[in-house]
Amino acid sequence: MKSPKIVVTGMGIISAIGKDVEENFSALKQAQSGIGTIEILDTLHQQEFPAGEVKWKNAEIADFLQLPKKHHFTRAALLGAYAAKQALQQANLTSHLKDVGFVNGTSVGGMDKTEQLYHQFKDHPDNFPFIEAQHPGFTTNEMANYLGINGTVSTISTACSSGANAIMMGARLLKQKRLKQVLVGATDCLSKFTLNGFHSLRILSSELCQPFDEQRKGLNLGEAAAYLVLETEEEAHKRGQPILAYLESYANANDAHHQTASSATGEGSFLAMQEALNAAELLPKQIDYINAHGTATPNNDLSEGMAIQRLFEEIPRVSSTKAFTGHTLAAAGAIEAVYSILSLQNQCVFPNLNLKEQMKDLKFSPHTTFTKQKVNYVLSNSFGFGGNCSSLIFSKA
Amino acid sequence: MFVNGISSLNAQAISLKEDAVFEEIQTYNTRNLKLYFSDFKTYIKPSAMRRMSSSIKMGVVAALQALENAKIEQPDAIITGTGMGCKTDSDVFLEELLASNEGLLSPTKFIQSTHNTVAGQIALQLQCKAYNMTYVQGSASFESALLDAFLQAATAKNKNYLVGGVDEISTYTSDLHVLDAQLKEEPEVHNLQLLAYKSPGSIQGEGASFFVTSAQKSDSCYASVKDIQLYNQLKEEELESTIHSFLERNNSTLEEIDVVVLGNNGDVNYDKYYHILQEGVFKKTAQTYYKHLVGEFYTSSGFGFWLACKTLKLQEIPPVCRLNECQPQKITKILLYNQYRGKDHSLILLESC
Repeated sequence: MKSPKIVVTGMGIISAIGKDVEENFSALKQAQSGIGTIEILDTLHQQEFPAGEVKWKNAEIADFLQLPKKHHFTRAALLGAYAAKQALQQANLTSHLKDVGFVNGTSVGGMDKTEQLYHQFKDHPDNFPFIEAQHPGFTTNEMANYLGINGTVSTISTACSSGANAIMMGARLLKQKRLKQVLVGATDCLSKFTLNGFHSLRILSSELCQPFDEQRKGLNLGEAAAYLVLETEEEAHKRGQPILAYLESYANANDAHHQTASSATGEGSFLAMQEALNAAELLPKQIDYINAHGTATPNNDLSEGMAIQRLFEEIPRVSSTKAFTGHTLAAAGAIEAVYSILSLQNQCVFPNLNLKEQMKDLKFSPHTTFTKQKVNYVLSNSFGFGGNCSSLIFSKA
Repeated sequence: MFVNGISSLNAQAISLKEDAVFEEIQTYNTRNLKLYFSDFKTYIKPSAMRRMSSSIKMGVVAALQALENAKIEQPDAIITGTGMGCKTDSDVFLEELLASNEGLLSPTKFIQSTHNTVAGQIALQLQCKAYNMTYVQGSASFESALLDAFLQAATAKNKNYLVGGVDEISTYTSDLHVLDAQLKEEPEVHNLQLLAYKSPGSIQGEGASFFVTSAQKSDSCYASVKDIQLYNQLKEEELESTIHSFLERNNSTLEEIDVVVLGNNGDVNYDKYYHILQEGVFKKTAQTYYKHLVGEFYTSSGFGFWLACKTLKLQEIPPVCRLNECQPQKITKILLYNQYRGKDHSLILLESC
C-alpha cells in the first residue's frame, strides 16, 4: 500500500521579524533582522546579549487572544496560541476539531513562569496553578484547551529539533489514519534560564550572529512560535482546501557523540539529511535550497557544513535564517518549516545575513541575498542537544 | 506490536527472575518513594557514572536491562517519555541562577537539564545513531512514546524500538507540589494504605520502565499491544462511552477484558475517574492498581504497563495490586487506563501473545 501524501494546508507564525506569515516574508525579502536589545525579558543581560525578542508584552497577547483576566498561559503558550490560531484559520478549521490532533514542541515550556514565581509561590495562592508549569505539557494543555483540541495531544522536547520532530510525529499520525488533520509546530519564549544557560556554555554572541562566517562568535537567542496544519492530500481535496506545499519526507538520527556538541564530521546531520533524501527517493542534486540549522556557533556550523559538503557533490543554495530571528530553540524547526514553504510558494531563497568571510574549513559559502529562482524541493535542518538531528523535505504544491 | 523485552526500576524490589514479579514488597511511611535499585555499577562504568544524574542512571540501566531481556544489542529507535526530565539538575541550575542573580554559572547542570538528556545518553552509551525522540506530555509522556513506536511498527517489519519512561524525585520542588495539592499534606503516608487517605494529592515516586517492542514477535514475547489512545481532556460522563468506542474500534468488548489496570493514586479529587469504572463497566472485571507501590510520577504508568506485561506472561495478578476479588479464569486481554488530575488520559489495550 502506498503511503498517503502529506500536505500543508495552514501555517501561522510569530517571531522577532513579524506577527504573521506575510510580515515574516516581507522581512526576509528586505533582509531586515529582528535581532536587537532585549526589552521585555527581565534580565541583567539586556544590554549584553542581543536577541530576537517578540516586542509584545504578555498582557497584549492575552488581550488579543481574548483570554479571561485570570488565565494561566505561560509566554510560550501565548505565542503558541497566537500562531496556532492563524494556522487553523488558514486551514479552515475553526470548529468541530474532533478529528484534529496537536503535536507541540517546546524546550523550556513554562520556565518563564517557574523562574518568576519560584520563590514567591508560597505567599501567592493565586499563582498555584502555575506550579504545574514546570512540566512542558502544561503549556501545551493550555493551548489545546484554548484552541478546542482535546483528543490526541502530545509534546516533544528534543531541544532545538523539537519543532521538526513534532512535524514528523504529526505526519505519522496521519499516515496511520489516526486523525484527519494535525496541528504541528513548536513554541519557545526567552527566559533567564536559557539565556544564562547558553551563556554558561559560552556560546552566546554579544554581537549580531554570523552564521557560516569564519569569524562567527556564537548564537543570538530568539523566541517564536510557528505551526502548520497537516493532512493527507486526499482529505485536502475532499475539503476543497488549497494545498500550500507537500511534506515530502523526514528523518531523525542521533549523532551519539556528545551531550551538547556535534561531531566534527556531522555524522548525525549527515544521516538525517541522507535518510530524508532516501525516504523521498530524491537525489541530492534535486534539492534546490537548504534552510540550514546554522546557529552561528563555531561547532554547529562546521559540523553541519561538513555534513552538507559530504552529501552534496554540487551544493545547492544554503542559508541560515538565524540572523533574522535568533535561535528560537524548539521553535526553530517550525519557523524554518514556514520559511521553507515560503521559499517554495514564492520561488525564492532567503539571505544569510552578516556574512563577511567564508569559513576556511568549508568549500562553500551561504547565499547572502534574496533571490528569485526555481525551487521544487527544500531541505530544512534542525539539530539539538542530546545529539538529536532532524531533516525535513518540503516540495512545491 | 509485540513487547519482547521489559524492565522497570522504582521503589519496589523488582525481581529479575522470569517467573516472579517482586522480591519482597517494600513498604514506606513517607510521601517520597525513592528508587530501591542501587546496583548501577554492574551496568555503567564508574567513569561514565560520575556525571550522571539519577534519571540518566535509571534510564540507562532500565534500557540495558530491557535490551538484554529481549536479547537485542542495538535498537532501531530510542523513544523516551518524561514528565520533567532531569528535574534535580534543572532545579539546581535555576536556584543557582536566582541566588547569584544571573552570575556566571557552571554549565554542567544546564547541559543535563534538557528533557531529551536521557534518550541522548542512552544513544551515547549504545553508540546508537538511530531515530531518537523524547515526549514530555505530563502523564501521557510514556504513552506518547509507546504510540510513536506503535505507529512506526505498523509499517516496519523487523525493527526493534526501545521505548521507555523515566522521572526522578527532586526534593527542591517537593514543597511546591504540596502547595498545589499534588502531594498529600500528611508527611507520613503508609504506601500500602494509599487509597484509605481521603485527602487531596498523592505520594511521589521515581523510576524508569523500558521496553523493547517490535512488529516481530520473539520467543521472549510478553504481550501484544493492540492499540493506544491519548485523550487530552475527558469529562467524567464521557469516560465509559469513550472506553466503549475504543474497544469497539479494536473489535473487543467489555466482557472480553480480563483485567483492568487503573492509575488510582489516592487523590480524593481525581480518583473519581477510576471509581466510575470500578463501580460501572468494570464492576465484574478483575481490577488492579500500582501507584501505592511506586508512588505517583508522570511516567509511573510505565510501571503499570510493565505489570500488565508480567501479568499476561505469568497468568497471575500480584495480590498486592488487587482492587477487588474478581479472579479471571484466563488472562488474555488487559486494558490500562490512566489520567493525572483529570488531564492526559490514556487507554492501552494489551493481549497475550
